[in-house]
Amino acid sequence: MELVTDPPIVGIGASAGGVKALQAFFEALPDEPNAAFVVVIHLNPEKRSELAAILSTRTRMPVSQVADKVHLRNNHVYVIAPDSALNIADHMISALPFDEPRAKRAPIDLFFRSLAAQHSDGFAIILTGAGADGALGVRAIKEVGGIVLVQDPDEAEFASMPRNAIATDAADFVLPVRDLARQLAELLKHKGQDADPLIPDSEDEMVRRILSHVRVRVGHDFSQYKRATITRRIARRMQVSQQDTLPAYHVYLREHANEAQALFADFLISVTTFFRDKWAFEQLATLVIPQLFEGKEAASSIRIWVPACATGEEAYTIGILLLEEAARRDVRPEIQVFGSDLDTDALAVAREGCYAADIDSDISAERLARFFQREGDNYRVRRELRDVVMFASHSILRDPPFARVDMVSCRNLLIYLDRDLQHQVCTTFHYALNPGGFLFLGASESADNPPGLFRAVDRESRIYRMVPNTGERRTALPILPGTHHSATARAAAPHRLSGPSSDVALHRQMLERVAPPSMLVDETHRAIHLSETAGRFLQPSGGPVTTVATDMVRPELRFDLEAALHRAFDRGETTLSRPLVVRFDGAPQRIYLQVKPVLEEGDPGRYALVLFIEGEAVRADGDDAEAADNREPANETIRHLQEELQLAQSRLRATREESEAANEELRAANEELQSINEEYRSTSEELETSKEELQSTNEELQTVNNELKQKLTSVSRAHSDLQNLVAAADFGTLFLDSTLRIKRFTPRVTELFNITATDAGRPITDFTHQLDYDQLADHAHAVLRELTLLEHEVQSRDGGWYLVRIRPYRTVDDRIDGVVVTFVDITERRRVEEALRDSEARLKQEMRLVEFSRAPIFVWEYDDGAVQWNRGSEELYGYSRAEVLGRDVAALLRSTPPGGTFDAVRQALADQGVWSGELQHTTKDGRVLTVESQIEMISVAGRRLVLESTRDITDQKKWEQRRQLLLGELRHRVGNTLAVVQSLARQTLRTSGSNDRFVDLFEGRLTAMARAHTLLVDGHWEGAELTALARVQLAAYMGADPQRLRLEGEAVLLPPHLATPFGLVLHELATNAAKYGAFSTAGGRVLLSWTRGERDGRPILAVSWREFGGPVVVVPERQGFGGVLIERGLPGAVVARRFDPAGLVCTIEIGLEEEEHDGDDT
Amino acid sequence: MVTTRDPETRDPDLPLAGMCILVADDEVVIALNLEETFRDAGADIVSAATVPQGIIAARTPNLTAAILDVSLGRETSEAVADVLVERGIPFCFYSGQMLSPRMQAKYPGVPVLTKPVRQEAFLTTLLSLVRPRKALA
Repeated sequence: MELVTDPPIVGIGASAGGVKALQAFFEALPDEPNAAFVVVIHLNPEKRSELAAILSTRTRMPVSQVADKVHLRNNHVYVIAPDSALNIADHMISALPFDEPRAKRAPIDLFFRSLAAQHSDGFAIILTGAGADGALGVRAIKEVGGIVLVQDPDEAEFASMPRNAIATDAADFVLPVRDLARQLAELLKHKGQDADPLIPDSEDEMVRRILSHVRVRVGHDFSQYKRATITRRIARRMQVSQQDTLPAYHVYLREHANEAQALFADFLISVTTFFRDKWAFEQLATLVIPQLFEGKEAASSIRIWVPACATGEEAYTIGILLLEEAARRDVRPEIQVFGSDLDTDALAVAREGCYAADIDSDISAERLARFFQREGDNYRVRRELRDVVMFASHSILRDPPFARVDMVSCRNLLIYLDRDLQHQVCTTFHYALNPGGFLFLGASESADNPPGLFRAVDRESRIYRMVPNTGERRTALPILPGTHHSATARAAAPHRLSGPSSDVALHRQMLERVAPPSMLVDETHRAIHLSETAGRFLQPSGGPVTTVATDMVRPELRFDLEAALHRAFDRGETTLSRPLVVRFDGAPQRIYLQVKPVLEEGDPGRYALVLFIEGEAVRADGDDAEAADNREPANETIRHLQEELQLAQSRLRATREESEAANEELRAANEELQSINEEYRSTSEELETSKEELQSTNEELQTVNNELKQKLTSVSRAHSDLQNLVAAADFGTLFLDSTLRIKRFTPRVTELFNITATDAGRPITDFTHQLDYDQLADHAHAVLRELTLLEHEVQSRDGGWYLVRIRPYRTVDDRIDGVVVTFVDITERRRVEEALRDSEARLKQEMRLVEFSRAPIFVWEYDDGAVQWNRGSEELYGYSRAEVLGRDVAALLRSTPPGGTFDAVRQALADQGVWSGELQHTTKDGRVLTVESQIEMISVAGRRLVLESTRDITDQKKWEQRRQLLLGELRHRVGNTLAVVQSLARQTLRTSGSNDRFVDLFEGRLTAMARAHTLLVDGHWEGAELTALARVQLAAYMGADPQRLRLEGEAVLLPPHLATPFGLVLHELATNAAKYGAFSTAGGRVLLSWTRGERDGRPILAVSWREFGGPVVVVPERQGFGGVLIERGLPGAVVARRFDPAGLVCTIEIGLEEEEHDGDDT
Repeated sequence: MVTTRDPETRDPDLPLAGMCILVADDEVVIALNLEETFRDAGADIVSAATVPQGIIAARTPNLTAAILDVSLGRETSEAVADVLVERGIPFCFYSGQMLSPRMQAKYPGVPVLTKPVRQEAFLTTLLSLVRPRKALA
């Protein structure tokens, strides 16, 4: 019993997906739910667990991992440590090492079972998880009165654990995890208010009403079950339905139709497992089972009855033991194990024979393998075992028992029953068993009540053996209390006790003292009770001791008693016998027998009271003698008759008893037949189900067949595709297995290898081939080893080239099964490749030529920037390659055709693809070049490439212009000169007078012009050196004497437009001097001098012609053409002639404008 | 420079009698010849060898016509021609070369005599220039 101060314990089991569910669970719990929580979760034994830390973020309660041994405290959370199991005892929780190997561990079951063993009011919660751990545990919790909550499998991440827990029928609540937490909080709150859930004795009446309600609803009476069990179950249901008081629960029970069924199911809860209490079953196997086989023939049968078998584990366990024993023996009698129970749901489970996988902790692997087969998460009982066990719905208290069984195994039923029912059940077992049969009970049960029926074989393991009745015949079947009887009888019982006991006792005592001796006899004529004084009338006969009344009373009374009892029981009549003479110690006395049926509650004939009424003593003398004498012959006859009658009666009685026994047996046989019938019916149902299953299987098979057919069609199509592929493939393919034997090859392979179709299966290394490739086998092995693709280009002996590709052969299920070798003829490709390489080299060469060409060549994309820019371009335009690439060349160079835009060029390129002509290009340093451009556009891979090559023709243009200019100039000059000559001729003619003189003058002037021209031409028409001009003009007049002419002046270059007139002026001066002046005499001299000067800020040349030593000068009366030439011949010059008698002085002042370049105007 | 004939030598029957002709030529020989020619035909002569001289000469009040060498020194006679055009005085070009396209466009209808030219052509051309005027007079 737990202390009141100890908190309720909530065990939580979870596995896969559990952490999330636990987080949600604790989040939804209130801060102080008033319980201690123990979390058991499957953890990896090798890893540290962070669960405690994780959970502590979700709840205010302290969370700790159980490392050793801890006292459970309220509002604490305890978490299992990795690689340990938890056990609970006296509110101490302790971590234990596992006994089982890792795979078989079931820590949740372990903990729940230990919780159930210690606390009847625990809570078990199953959350998400795979497997079936916890399923056994929750049943154990439920059996002791705990409450089971399970997460809704639809919500759980892994539904298997919740489903298995629900399948045990133990779950009180199935809810999503948050509702689960709320429900738990609610339950705990109620628990807190009502600290002691046990129902006080004062509520007895209410309990009775509840039980009678259950009886009405369900038809089973539990009034004689142990009170503690009953109240515990009711208290549990109260908790589940959250009713605080019994009356409240009673109302709830009446209002909720399902509650009666739920309570009924709770009453029936029992935990059964395979081999529960292993040692007991070991004892059974060694002590009992072999004996059952003793003396059995193959034709005979071994019958075992397992009442209250629940979900059948116990029945199957015994079946296993029997089958194992049978296997050890040669003979194999028929084995029948009858399992019976009230609970039809449980029986359905038993018949199904399908159990959660965690039964493997109860059953050895060997037995599991032999008697079970795995079905997903479950184990199903194999046919062999299933066939020997039959299940029937049966109440051991209400229905006739199975008969002639060799053993009854009834474990953990008696403990729920009160003493009277135990008595009844034991008697029933005694009846059911064959003589010497065995009874196998649960750990805390015994078969000692009533005494004498069983003898202990092994008290420790509760094995008993039936003690046969002393009589030869079988004991009659004990009376089966009808439910109505017992109820009413019980109801009446407390009444009888409720009077003032002292008065009753006194009255009874007095009555007993006064009343005649009496005896209470039951229906079977057994004496049940004797009054204190009845001993005088008893005289048991010899032989076995019996309580049959007629055998116990004095012989004199027997006949009349017999008759009276019959009348009493059969007709309910009260009889008073004639006086009977009984000799008490030799003294005869008259005795009257009064037999009165005891009428109880209108049920006649169950009991009869026999009163021995003493009459007067028989006088020994008169009466006796008289009687003796008178009645001697009659007495003799009567006695004779009486004896005969007695004999007949006892025969009759024996016959009746036999008939009753036979009747009972028939009833039992009937019961058995019914159960067999039921078994057959269920078998029939199973067969029906099997048939349906077979039909659906058949349909499935048909579907599969169709699918297979379709698959076959597609496979054969794939095959023919493959055949065609092989035929069409222009390369050889060789399939080898992992030992390099030929599996398959395409026709092209035969060109290389000397193989034929019959060579499949032979190693490829056996064949010669045309390839220069000896490493084929090595490479194939390498591919098998590395599972990578290998490629080689191999030359064949006839000069061709092949690409050999070896790759692993993968089957559709991704298994490596050899290699695939392909031979692709790449001779052509090699040739093309070589040609390509050559042309590439050539191209590279040419590219370099272009690159280093001094001619500007560049390439640009029509829709994009420049892609090539050679050295010539760099040199011409000043832009480096890097500066240009990617940019728009036309924009960069400001390409413009004369009198147009570059767009016209682009248009022409787009239309005709070529363009050539003059373009203006601007260089990087801003010079505008005229180039002759050749442009061609080609398309390469969708790109429009423009190849442009230019030639700088700027200088050429310049020279051209210059030539044009010179031609113009020439024309101008020639025209001019001719005009001058024409004018000269006319003017000379005008003044000459005679032809000879004209010729002379004209020639002289023409020669002067020609000389000046010669000088100008010699000086590139840039001008004439004054000294040189003077010399050529005057040379003819100097004669042999150089002193006649002196030239003084710095070097002056006369511009061309002055040089010719100046030459003419000098000529005229010299001609005049030769005619009239200094040159006309031998001693005459001329000084020609000049200086540069300035007038009005402009440069001038001052020239002076001075004659000496000539004849005396006279001023000419008429000025001739020569004079006009001298004075006006130089444009813009100021000329002055002074006719000094000593000699002519002529001064000429010429403006020397800065000479400009030729050609700056047209 | 204006040179006029002596009144006694003036003959009103000469073709250019009473006219004043501007001769602008930087070649003195040519200029002299032209002057002589026109003078012989009865005209008064104004002559110029440079552009500044030509511009002044072109403004001579009773100028009748002009003959211009296209190039005067290193310049063209364009400025002189402009004055003449402005004054409405007829003139012709006398050049060793063709007129530049620009000048052709600028002075449409102005006769151009290409050097050398026969002596009579001067007179013919000049007369054709002044005849409409003479007829009006």
